[in-house]
Amino acid sequence: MPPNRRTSLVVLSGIGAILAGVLLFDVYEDWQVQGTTLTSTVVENALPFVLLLGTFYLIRRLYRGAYDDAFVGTVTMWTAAGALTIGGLVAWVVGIQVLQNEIKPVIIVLQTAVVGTAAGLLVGQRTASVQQEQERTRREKERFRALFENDPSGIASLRRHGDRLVVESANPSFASLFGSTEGKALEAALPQLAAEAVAAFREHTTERERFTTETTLRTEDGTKHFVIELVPFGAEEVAEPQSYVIFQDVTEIRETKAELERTVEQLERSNEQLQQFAYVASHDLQEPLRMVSSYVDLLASEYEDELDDEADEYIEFAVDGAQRMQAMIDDLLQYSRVHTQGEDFAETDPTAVLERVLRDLELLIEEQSATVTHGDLPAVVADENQLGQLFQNLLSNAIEHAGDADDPPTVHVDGEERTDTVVFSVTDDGPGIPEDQQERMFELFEQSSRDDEGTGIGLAVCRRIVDRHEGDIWIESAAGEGTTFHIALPTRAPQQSTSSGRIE
Amino acid sequence: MSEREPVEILLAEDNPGDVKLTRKALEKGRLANNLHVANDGVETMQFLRGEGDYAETPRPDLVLLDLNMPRKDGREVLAEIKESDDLRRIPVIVLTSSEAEEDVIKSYEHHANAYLTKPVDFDGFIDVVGTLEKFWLQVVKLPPE
Repeated sequence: MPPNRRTSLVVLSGIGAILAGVLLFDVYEDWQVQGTTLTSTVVENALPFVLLLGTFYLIRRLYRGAYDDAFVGTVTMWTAAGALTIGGLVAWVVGIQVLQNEIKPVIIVLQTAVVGTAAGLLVGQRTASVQQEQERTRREKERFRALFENDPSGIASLRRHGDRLVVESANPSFASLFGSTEGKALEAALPQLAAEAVAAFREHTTERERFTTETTLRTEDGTKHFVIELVPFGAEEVAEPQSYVIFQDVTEIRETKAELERTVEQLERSNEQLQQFAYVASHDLQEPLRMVSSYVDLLASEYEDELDDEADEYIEFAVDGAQRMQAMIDDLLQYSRVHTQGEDFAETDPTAVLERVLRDLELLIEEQSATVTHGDLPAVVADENQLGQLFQNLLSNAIEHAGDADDPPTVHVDGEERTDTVVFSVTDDGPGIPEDQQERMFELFEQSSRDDEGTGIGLAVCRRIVDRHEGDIWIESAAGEGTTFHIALPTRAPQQSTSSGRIE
Repeated sequence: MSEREPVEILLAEDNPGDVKLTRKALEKGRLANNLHVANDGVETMQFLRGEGDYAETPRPDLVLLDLNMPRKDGREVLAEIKESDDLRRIPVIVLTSSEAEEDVIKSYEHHANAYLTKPVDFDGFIDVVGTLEKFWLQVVKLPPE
C-alpha cells in the first residue's frame, strides 16, 4: 500500500478512535458522575455508537477493492478495537482522577484517544503484515503445487537419508511414468536407473550442485529417453540435503531430430549426386556430340558434289540439332557449376561489377542501340563473379527483349538498402511478362514466349546463384508496362554453402 | 630438321572417330607427317620406349595426348614421360574434350607443353590441328633427337 494512502487510513482510523474516546468518556461521565443508570446511559449514547461503527464501516468500504482486503480489514479493526478498549480503559482509570483533580476533560479525552489509536494501529499493522505474509506464502505454495502437479515432466523430491536417497514426493507425471515411488529409496523406486546415475544424484545432492544427464529408461508407457536434471534446494549445512529430480521426456524431440538429420543427409547426398550427374552428363555428352557434328560436317564437305539439296537440308538440320544440344550442355554445365565452382563470399562493390559487365556487353548494347543507366548500388556480401553473372544474365535478357527496331530498349539498374539486405532492380521498358508466366521463367530450360534464342537457362542460373547467397529473386511486371527483376542479396555473409563433393 | 623429312607424330587416342578426324585434319595441313596411333596409355609408353612391337618405330617429334584412355590414362602417361630423363624433351600436347579446370591445372603441373580442347565442329577441329601443326612443327625450334 502506498504511504499516502496508508497515512490517510491511519488518520481516518485516528478520527474514529478520537470519536470512540469522546464517546466512552461521555458514557463514563454520565454513568459515574451524573449517576444515571448504566442502561439509560447506553440507550442515550446508542446513536453516536451507531455513527462510530458506521464510520469504521465506511473506512473499510473506502479502502476495500483498491487494496488488499485482509490488510485494510485488519488495520481498521485493530485500530478501532485498540481505540475502544485501551482508550476506554484509560479514560475510565484517568477519569476518576479528573473528577478528583479537576483536570480539563478534553485533554484527557485526547490523550486517551491518541494512546488508543497508536496502540491499536501498532497491533493492527503487525497483525496485518503477518496475515499478509501468511497469505503470500499460501499463494506461493499453491502456485508451486499447481506447477508441480501439472508439469508434464516427472518431478520427484529427494532427501538424503543416511547412504540413500529417498523419494519424498512425486508429481502425477512421475507417478504415471514410474508407478508408486513415494517413500522408497531411489534405487528401489527406479530399479532401471543405472547405479552410476543414482550415485551421481546422491553425490550432487550432498554437494548441492546441479547435475544434468541423459538416459533411456523403461517406463509404464514404454521405453523413453529422458533429460534428467537434478536441482538441490533447501538450507545449507543440513544433515539431510534435499533435491528435485526432473525427468523431461525428450523421446519425441530426439526422434524428430534424428529424422531431420537423416533427411538432411539424404538431401545432401541427392544434391551431391545431382551435381555430379549434371557435371558428368555435360562432360561425357560432349564426346559423342562432337562425333555427330564433326562427321556430319565431314560428310557435307567431302561429298559436297554428290549430294542433292535435300541431303544438304538434312545435314543442316543435323548440324543445327547438334549445335543446340551443345549450347544446352554448356548451360547445364554452367548451372551445375554455380555450387561446385562458387568462390567464397566477400564484401563486393556492385558498381565495379556492373561496369565490368557493361564493358562485356558493349557489343550487344551497340547492336540494339540500348541505353543502360544505373543509380547508387550499395555494397553486398557476395561471390563477385556470380554477382557479375547475375547482372549479365538480367541485362542481356532485358536488352534482347525490351526493344524493337523503332524503339531501342532502355534499361535501368538500381539498388536499395533494406534491413540486412540490398535489393537490386533491373528495369526495362519492354513488353512485360504476363503474371502467369513469371514463376515458370526461373525453371531450367523454360523458354518463355519472349525468349526465342537462348536455351532458357539464364534465369535458372540466376535463381541458383541467388539461392546460394540465401537471397531472393522475383519479377514485377505487367503486360505492356515493362519488367523489373528484383534481386535481394544479404549485406552480411550467409552461412557458407558447403561445396563438398567438389568435382571440378 | 630437314624440310623434306616427314614429321613423326604420336597420337595417343582410344576413340577411332577422333583418330580419323585427326588424320583428316592433318591431311588438310601442308606438312608431311607420319601419324602413329597408340590406343591406350600402355601402348603409348611402349611406343615411346620402343618396347615390344614398337622396337622399330621412330621416336616421335610430338605427342598428341588424350586424357581419358583405358588401361593407363593420359594423366599417368604425361607424368611418366615428364619423369623420364630420356623422354621428357618430347613436346606433349594434351588434346582432350575435358574443359575441367582441374585437368588443365594438373596437366601443366605435369609439364604438358600445351593444353587444347577439341572443338565440337569439324571446321574448328581442323583449325586447331592446323594451328598446332604450324606452331609446333614450323615455328618452334624443337630439340634435336
